[in-house]
Amino acid sequence: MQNVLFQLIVSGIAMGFVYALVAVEYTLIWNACGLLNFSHEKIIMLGGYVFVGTCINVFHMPNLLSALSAILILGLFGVLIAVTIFIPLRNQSRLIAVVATVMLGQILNEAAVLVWGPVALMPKNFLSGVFTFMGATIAKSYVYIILVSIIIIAVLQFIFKKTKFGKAMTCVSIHKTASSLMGINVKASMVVTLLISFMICAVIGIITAPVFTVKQQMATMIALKGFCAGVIGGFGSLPAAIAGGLTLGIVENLTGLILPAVFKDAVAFALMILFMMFSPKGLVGVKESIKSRRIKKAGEAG
Amino acid sequence: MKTVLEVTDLTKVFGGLEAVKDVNITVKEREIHALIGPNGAGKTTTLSMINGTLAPTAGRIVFRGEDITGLAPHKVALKGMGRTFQNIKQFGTLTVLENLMVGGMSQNNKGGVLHMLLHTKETREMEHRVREKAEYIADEIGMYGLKDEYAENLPYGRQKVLELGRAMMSDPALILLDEPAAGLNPSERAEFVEILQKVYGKGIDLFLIEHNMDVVMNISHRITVLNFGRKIAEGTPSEVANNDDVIEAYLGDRFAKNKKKEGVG
Amino acid sequence: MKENKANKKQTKISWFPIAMLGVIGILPVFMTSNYYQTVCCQAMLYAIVALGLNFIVGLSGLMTLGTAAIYGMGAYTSALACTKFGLNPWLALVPVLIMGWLIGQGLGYPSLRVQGVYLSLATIGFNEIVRTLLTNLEWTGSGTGIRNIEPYRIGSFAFDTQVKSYYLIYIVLLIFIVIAWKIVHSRWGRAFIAVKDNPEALQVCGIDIAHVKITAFTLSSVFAVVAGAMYAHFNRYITPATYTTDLSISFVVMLIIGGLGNFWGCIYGAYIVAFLPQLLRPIGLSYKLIYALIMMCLVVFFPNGLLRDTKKYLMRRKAMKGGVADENRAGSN
Repeated sequence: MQNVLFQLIVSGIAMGFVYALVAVEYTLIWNACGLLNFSHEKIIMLGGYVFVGTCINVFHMPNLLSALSAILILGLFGVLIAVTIFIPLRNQSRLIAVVATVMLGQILNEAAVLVWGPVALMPKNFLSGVFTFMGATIAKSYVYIILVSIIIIAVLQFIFKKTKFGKAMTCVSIHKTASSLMGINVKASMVVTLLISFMICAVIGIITAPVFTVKQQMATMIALKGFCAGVIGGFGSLPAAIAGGLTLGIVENLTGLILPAVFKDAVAFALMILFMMFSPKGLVGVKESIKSRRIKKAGEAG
Repeated sequence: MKTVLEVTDLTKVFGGLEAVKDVNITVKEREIHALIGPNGAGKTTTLSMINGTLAPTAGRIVFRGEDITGLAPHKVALKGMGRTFQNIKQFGTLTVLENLMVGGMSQNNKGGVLHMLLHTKETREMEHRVREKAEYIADEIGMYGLKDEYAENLPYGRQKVLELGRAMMSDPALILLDEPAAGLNPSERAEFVEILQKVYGKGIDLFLIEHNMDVVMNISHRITVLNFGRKIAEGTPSEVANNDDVIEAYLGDRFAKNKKKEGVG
Repeated sequence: MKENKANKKQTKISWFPIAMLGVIGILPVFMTSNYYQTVCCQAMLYAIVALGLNFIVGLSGLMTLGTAAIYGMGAYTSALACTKFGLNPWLALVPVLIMGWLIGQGLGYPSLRVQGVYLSLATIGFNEIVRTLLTNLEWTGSGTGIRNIEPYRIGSFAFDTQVKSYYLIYIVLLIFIVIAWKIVHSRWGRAFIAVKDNPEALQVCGIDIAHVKITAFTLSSVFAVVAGAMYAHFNRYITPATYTTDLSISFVVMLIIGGLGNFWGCIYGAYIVAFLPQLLRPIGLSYKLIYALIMMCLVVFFPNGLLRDTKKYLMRRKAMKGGVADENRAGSN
């Protein structure tokens, strides 16, 4: 029982980090462009396909080199999408923008079938095997997911807190017009954001390839749950996205103990809707309200 | 004279900031009452608490003998209190006539959609009634010729007038106006004052926030002055104009001291 | 100013809707293939859903992406009422309508607290929850769905062929068009638009915006569940795989192609979304890709609706050719 619990928690944390990465990836775009990217599941899928279908299967590159090239290619693709779709759409009504990104996803989806065929692909000898730890068996891929996610999040934190460019991007997320008046190039910051965001998508696609195999629907659920993670944590903030992702990953895995596993997804969405209704600011909001209650109490006591 | 609106010890605290503190206002029947004060004095906050948009932290609001403290805005409106906004709030994609008809909806609304679909005759009569009234009001506010124009295409001044017209549609006893003359040019302002007088002449009492002293001194019978969330003066326009605290609040204490000196000398 | 018709509402009856409904009415005479008649039936059902969705998305301006789940719940309610409880399909419309009312009330409440993009996410969540439940509950037939649903009957006359179903659905569509038309052009239609334009101002007019929003949701889900039920008895076989978020998005796309808030746009939008993939099918493998590309272009280049934007473009071109400054100004409004 203890082993099962431990396994569930580790895989929960791993999935939680994946959700967190997804949440981070679309939060970046949300902050920079004010758009929700509903095509991100297909971008993640594209990352997986470029990695396995092209770099490994066609060019026979070693795994690590394939991963790096896939990340680079997706980054360039991000720049292309930024220029052709996101920049023209930034002043459109939200509804139009949402539908346009959904359509972009469908285009990528169909293009993937044409290019890589309908059969699921699996990278060979990539993050496979298991660790045995305290009597529990843990897939190596989960451990790698956790490690890679932590590295990416650390790098992003560094970029946003320490570099001039990161600070400029924070400004853009707060007020576009004011930032452009202060001499920040809003369009350029959108391009760079999409570059980073699509590279993260590629990483997600690569590290989850051994778990989900590379197919069209590989990222459907993690993409939707990335949205859940964002809402549960608190929309628009990176640390909150990570907290939300981890919470979601662990909670939904543990519900597997009570409910049949197939209802795991329903639980995640129900959790999101509950948070929206009762704490629209997510965990950040819960924290704030506890803090303010404490201040109030202290004030009353004083 | 009977009281139409009585506000007692109204207080609103945002975080630790007292935006409005212990404000008392009494609006008598057949009176145009103005609320003035420097920027940030808490005028709009007070107005929003009166019409229910903001919940007061403390205090009591009695409207026509009924306690309406903490009531939702639409319920307050149903009791007969209209309101206009500082930044125009318009139904831009509806025509002028339709804007007015929305204003009259609460008076001619019975049951839900199903009720409406089943009682076609009643629906037709209501629709006809509202339309006639909207046309009448459009004529009153001098916008009959623009009745089929979309509200968002109207010039700023016209939109302000339209908002007043919309408030009139539900036959209110009192209309709260938040800076009706702000952003209007002198000729528009004069026209607006004329319309206000006309509205008042129909037996509707007015309670307005206004920055423009021309307008305030011209039309109001009574003025309340707020500063830093507190009431500092109340009285007729001439009383208020000569009140030292008011002059200090508006022009700074140095000016007030000078004036005192002059008065002494 | 007075000649500026583009900025004014046209109250006169135009020929376009009548022609459109007439063409829909005689379509089966020309389209004799069973396959295309099925697509036509689907297009009409989509049109009913779109007319309902128009209240929320088009008029009230709320972004909901859970319509497919409501459509599906209508289908399942009717199918289960018939197969499990042996109800007559017509009688099954009673639980269907109750279900529609319940969903509308239930979805309306979150819409009061959750706004903008959050509402889209919440409704996507709702859609996924419904789909997961339908796919996994044994009672609803799990992934295989429900088979052998009986068709609608009047006496011994069964609506069991394509053409018969076609005219049944056509009549239902006409009924819903009349209902929707009446609502759109009533005080409620104005209230829905007012909620989109300025909720605060609507409140001070003495109207409860919560009530207005919930009414919009309820109307929309009643339209969707009835269309869903019609689909179940027309197709006679339903599976949960139909009711995906993609279908929900397609419903919104219909509205956008028709022009948000444009009454007749809902109908031709539904036809375009239903027919375009079928017309592109001969291209071969890549037809879905071409379809998605066309949809994307329609949404991005005609954000106010296909006809409305085309008309605007033509007017502007005419004005440019005439070189009249006055008309040019009208075009820019």
